[in-house]
Amino acid sequence: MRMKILYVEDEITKNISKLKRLFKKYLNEEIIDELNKIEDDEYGADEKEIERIIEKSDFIDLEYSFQGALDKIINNHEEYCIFIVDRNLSSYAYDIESLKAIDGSFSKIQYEKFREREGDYLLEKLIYEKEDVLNRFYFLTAYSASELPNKEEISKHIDFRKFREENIIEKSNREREQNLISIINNAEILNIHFENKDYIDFMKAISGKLSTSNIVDFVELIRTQYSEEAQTIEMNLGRIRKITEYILSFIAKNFKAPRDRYTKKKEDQIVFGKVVSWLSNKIGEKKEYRLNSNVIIESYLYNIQSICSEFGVHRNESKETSFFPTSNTVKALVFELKEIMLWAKSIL
Amino acid sequence: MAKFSKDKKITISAINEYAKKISNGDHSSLNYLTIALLYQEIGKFEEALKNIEMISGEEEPDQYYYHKGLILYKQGKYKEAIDLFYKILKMDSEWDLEAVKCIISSYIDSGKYDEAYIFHMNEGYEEVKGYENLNIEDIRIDDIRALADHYIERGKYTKAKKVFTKFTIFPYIQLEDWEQVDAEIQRINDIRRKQDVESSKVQERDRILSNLSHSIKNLISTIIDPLSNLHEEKEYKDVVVENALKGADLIREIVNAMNLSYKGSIKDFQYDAKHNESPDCLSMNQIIIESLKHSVSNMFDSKYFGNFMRNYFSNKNIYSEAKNRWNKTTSLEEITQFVRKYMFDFNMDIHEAKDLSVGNEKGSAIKFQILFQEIILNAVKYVSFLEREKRLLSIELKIIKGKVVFKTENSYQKGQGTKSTGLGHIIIENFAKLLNTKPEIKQNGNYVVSISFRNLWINPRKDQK
Repeated sequence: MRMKILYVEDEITKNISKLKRLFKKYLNEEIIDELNKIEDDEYGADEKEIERIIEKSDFIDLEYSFQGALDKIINNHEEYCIFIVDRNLSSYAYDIESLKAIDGSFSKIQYEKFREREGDYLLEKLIYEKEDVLNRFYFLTAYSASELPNKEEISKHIDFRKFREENIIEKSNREREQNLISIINNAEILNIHFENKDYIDFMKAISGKLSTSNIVDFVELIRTQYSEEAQTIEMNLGRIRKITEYILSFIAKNFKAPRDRYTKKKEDQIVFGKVVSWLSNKIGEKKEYRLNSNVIIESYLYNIQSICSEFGVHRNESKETSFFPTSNTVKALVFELKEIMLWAKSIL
Repeated sequence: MAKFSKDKKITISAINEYAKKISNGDHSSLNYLTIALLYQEIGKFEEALKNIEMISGEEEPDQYYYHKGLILYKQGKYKEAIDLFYKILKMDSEWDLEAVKCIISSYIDSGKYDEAYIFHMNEGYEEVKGYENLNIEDIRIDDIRALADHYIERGKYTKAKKVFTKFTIFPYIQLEDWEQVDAEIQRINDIRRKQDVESSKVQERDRILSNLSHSIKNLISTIIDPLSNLHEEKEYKDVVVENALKGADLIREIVNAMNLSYKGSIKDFQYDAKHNESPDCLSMNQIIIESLKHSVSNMFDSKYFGNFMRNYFSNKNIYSEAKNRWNKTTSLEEITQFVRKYMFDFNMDIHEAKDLSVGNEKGSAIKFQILFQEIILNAVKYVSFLEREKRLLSIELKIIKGKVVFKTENSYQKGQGTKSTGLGHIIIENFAKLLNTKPEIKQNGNYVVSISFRNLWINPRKDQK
């Protein structure tokens, strides 16, 4: 899932200020404090220490060696929505053998060809073997785009209009850097992750490491919740239902809901309404709420169940002529879902 | 045919004379042709054309085409002229060689050099009557030279040479022709050599400028970022300003060093070696010690020399202890003790440098300082990558056979590189050049850099004796 920025800079110890400038939005107070301490300390910190601090952010992956960057690009490229790469990564020593262990096609030819422009190799590797990232790949360099040495391959991409000169960020050019900061701050997926971090963290916690489909659904839901397109509204209602059901299943399993709250055919498949009624057990005229739930949770769960079943992807065709929900319904249910998540987080 | 005169009045009177003949009934082609040629002479091409048109093209069409083509050529109507000259080549005509020459001239004068080249190389002469007897005198050598010069200007030397070597296929080429071709080829080779030298100088200059701007911009970016943050945060931080100033100092040092390394000559050094009694004079001994101090001081800079600093001072306690002690270190003995304790095994033999003082009126003291600083700093940086017990640095300055020899020798880790624009190397080479020498680098287990230059402190004549 693309929710991170990969920042590759070999001279990171000299560039702590740049790090703070570029990623200010995504670095919390604790991280900024630690970086400030390093800047204030005459002994400073080494690359590993800076990497450790930055990666606390969840949004930035910092890499200072060519070798490490190559590893990340080969094995984790799909995690990144933006790549920011210092073109010359020769500061941190590397050798052919270690690189070959990561990338079998790396040889002496590549070593010589890409020496002092290792970033070019990372870009080539990505676009020819992994995915087209040209519109979200940025080079940091002390040269301006026009004076860049050995830029034949890059020029080729520019000529084919897949790469723009604006993607080459001259290090001392404040205007170019400001543009990059604006791109970083406005990266849609990254913003969704950043602004919904608590909910996504909760989803991660209950989904297990391997299952990302609920998180993907949630991010897509947040991204498209303002859409008035009927098909998207249907899809989003389906997503809300699916995520809520997953949360309820998790609660039912963890708090050992009785067997009769599950379907007869599949042992681990809950019956949505039955789990809701288990949470708000009705004894005569009184209701007894379980697991710290209350009328809010009960109402929201019923809302989600009824609306999403009625108008979600498998909606009842006979209801075609009734009032069809707009994005207002989706947005309202997104807020309700978020409240359910906060409640679930509080009891788990 | 009338003898053509440069005097316009005479020409006009000649035209009138021939016109009279025509009006008297003598309509021979010769009269019209003569009038046409006379009109051309005084630049009246339209009148000339009118008269040419009176010639019967049926009797001597090639002559008609040639003269009409020539007038059109002179009017700058090259395409029409070329069409007429080509018609001649398709006929069995005595005018064929003239037509060939005119086609080449027309192409060249109309800026169509590639067409001229193709015609000259592939179509031109073989179809000419008496081809086997052609020699260079028969062609317009100025046109051929213009064609070659066109390609020389564009760096296409092989093509330029081919323009001349074409003539060597003439069956009965004369010795003088060979000589002329050789002379032209030689001329092109000379131009090429000269342009190659100039272009390699330009390339070298561009490379150095590019490296210099790369270094400076890298440093500037490390200054701009913290200052921008400071500006945004509206909070003063001593260490940030201090680091920014250090960065600015490094930029100043690079630019100064680069600038000075291109200025002056051995004469300036000789002058300053002779005028070495003013207060700003320094002994070579002092210069070397200052250079060493400068290099060691840099090893406490975590921002700009961080990786070397960590090689020497593996944790903050050692760093603080060493820095405290370094701040109190002044004498050579203390420096020696310091580097031996914290950095590397160290030997220095510069006692012969004590008596070699140099003034700074022509910038020699500062130039020597930059030169020694560059060499010593490199050694101090690279020796750091080894384990402590393998680190060794020795510095010496000796006078050997009338020459001053400065040498550093350090142990180093093979294959260990650091990011570099190579500016340090350029600076060292340039200063050596000013001293009429070259740095010598040997890698025989250790890394040895030596610079040997004429002893500036003795009279050269005495030296020869």
